[in-house]
Amino acid sequence: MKLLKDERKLKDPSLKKNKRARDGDDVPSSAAQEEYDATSVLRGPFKLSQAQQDRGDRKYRELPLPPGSIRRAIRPLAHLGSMNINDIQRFIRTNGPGGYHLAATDLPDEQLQTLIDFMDCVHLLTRPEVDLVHMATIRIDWLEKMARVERDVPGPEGKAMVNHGLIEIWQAVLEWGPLWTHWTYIFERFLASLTRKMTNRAAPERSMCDNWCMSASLDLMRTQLRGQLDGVLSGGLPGCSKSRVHAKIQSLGGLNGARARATKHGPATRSFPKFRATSRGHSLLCLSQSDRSDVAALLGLQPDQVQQRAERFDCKCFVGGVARTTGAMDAATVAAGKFGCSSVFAVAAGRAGQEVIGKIKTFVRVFAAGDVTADLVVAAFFLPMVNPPRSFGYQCVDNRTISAPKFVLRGDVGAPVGCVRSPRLGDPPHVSWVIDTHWSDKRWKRELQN
Amino acid sequence: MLRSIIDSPGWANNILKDPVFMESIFSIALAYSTDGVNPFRSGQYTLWPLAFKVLNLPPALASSTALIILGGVVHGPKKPKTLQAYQLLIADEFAAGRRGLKSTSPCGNYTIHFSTKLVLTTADGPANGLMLNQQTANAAWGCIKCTIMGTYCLHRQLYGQVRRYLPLDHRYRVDPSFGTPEIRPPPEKRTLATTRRHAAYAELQKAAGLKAATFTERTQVAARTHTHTHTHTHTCTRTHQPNLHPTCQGGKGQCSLDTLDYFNYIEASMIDVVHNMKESWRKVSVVCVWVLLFSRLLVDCISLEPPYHCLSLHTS
Repeated sequence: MKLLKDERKLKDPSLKKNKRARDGDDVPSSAAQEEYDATSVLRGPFKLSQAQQDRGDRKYRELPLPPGSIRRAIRPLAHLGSMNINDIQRFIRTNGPGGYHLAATDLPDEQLQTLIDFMDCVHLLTRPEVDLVHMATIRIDWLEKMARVERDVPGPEGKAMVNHGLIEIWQAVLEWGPLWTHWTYIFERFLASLTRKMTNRAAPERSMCDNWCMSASLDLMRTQLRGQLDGVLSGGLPGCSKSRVHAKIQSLGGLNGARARATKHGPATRSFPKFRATSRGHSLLCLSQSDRSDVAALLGLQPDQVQQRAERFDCKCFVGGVARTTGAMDAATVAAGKFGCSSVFAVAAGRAGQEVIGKIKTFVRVFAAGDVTADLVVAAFFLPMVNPPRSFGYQCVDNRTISAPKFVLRGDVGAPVGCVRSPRLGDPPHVSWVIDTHWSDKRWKRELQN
Repeated sequence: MLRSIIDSPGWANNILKDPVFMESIFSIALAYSTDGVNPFRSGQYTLWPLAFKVLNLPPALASSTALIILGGVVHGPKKPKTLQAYQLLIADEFAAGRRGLKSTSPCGNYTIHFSTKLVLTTADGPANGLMLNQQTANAAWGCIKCTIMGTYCLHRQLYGQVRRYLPLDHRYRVDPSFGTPEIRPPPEKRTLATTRRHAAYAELQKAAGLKAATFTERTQVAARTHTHTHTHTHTCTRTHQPNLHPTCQGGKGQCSLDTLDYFNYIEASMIDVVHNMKESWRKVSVVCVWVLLFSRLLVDCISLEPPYHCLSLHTS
């Protein structure tokens, strides 16, 4: 409905008259400068090819939506010029705790790059540590990106207050330190927990406050009064009520049961999943001569000593709640020469934090003479590495050799890197978000052409 | 390299150079936030919990949900029109805390003296407006930190104007792909003095009988009155400015947090772009549950005077 209104506005004759009148002016007055032309706001300079348009339309028409949703009636890409932030959020689908997925093929390249830059801008502000020197050096660059967002995101959303708010947040970060110390996510979490404390729908506020007082005093007892409680309750005979109460209190965790949570879920996984010798993800592989020489060089053997037979494993791991798979499991995209949206990506420490340097294709287990077995990772790289080996164990490869898979020792591959937006306290800042789109593929192709 | 709020210049200015705060190692620095929640996930019934976070704890504890202090809950069938009356209670609390508090040490052996200080406020857009008594998004002067002026187009206020922050000789300022050349300097920052002046103007106009209605209402009224002359809402900005005199610059009245003499409520307010909410207001009833503010950290606060255990008031 709203779109129809906007289109009607475009056809309005008085608007065109205004535009003509303004074109007649030689020097734009300040009033005219403040006004925005509705046509330029609505229509971006972007166009999709017919194939892209059809694909996007088909995709979004079949997108599962709750019944009665108004979006079902809208073909999102037919009105790209009037795309607003809701549509953009469609493109930037959030997956799991803090992961971004960009439906890259649905957007023109310039607009996609602007959106990626925009996410970079936000990401910079949400860093766990603030480097004042670094921020001062990239200030102009950051503002340019924000200006490009204002230009390239059509519709009023590119000029919304939230975008201006980011500029103010920059100042706040300079003044008050990293954003996680004073953002409202903590309070939002608290509000959510408060809402869960509501037990009486007839009197929500009273039950919430009562239960909050109860839990707060319980927390106080568990933490601050722990020593005094231990002193009072210790020394009872085993089995008596006093010792039972003591045991119960001791079994309670610390704040919000943090200890119980830690023991229940265990420590976070910090490595690639283990090789499973099941028939499901395992197939036999015949290594070529060049593969064998590569593997032999890696293992310090002669090429003849490496057997032709190898086992291939494909696995699925969860990074930040998003399922990532190695190459063979999304065979369609591999066959098309692209990188799938759910692939495992190799990330190395680079100049600007983490850099996506390649894609994990598969895992192989090779056999050599003398019952030697070795687990290797086959990875395809699309960026040249500046510091050759041992950062993650990758060799320095030219980006033109992307089609030739490289073998890497499995022990040299780091942990899966996920899409973690909120910094975890105490973690080293090695987590970063990975946009797994086709843009790198495109860039690589462009470089090849050049 | 700033690793925490402890390293920041704001902390150094507000805490480390504050002799009253630094008198005692037990002093408490608090951040204040509020936001609307709907407990029923439907309807317009909202709760506005006033929450506090202790800033001078270790970072893991300061970010812990369990250690957030619930100061009070404003509830009602609609979003409250203003929070200033309830924040006045909070400001009084903080003024009392600034004068000094007495308590018993955690081990119970000796008496300690300490003070509390409100260091910063943080909220999303509409909550910021309620908290600071200013107009926010969809108003002409919608930013609480600067006097950037939006333009009305497509039923919304558009701000943008990022190029104003670039250097004057930057190529983007004259790049035709960005539209008309931009020659304006960055918008002027709000300071405490100017904001107080705007608030005083707004109070004067309200006293003179000018209703400080929300901008949305005004545009609706304007659209109704212009129905016969304009068939659409065109891009002209001037006719849709709020009726409050421009001298108010987005201020809607005095902020009750301004009663704290040490608190610069413009510089210490943080914007968070978590979400946007629609403006609405109606009759609000309130139950302000003032639980012992500091009892979660220190064992014995019974000696607080006057005893704010629970206070409940109803307004219509």
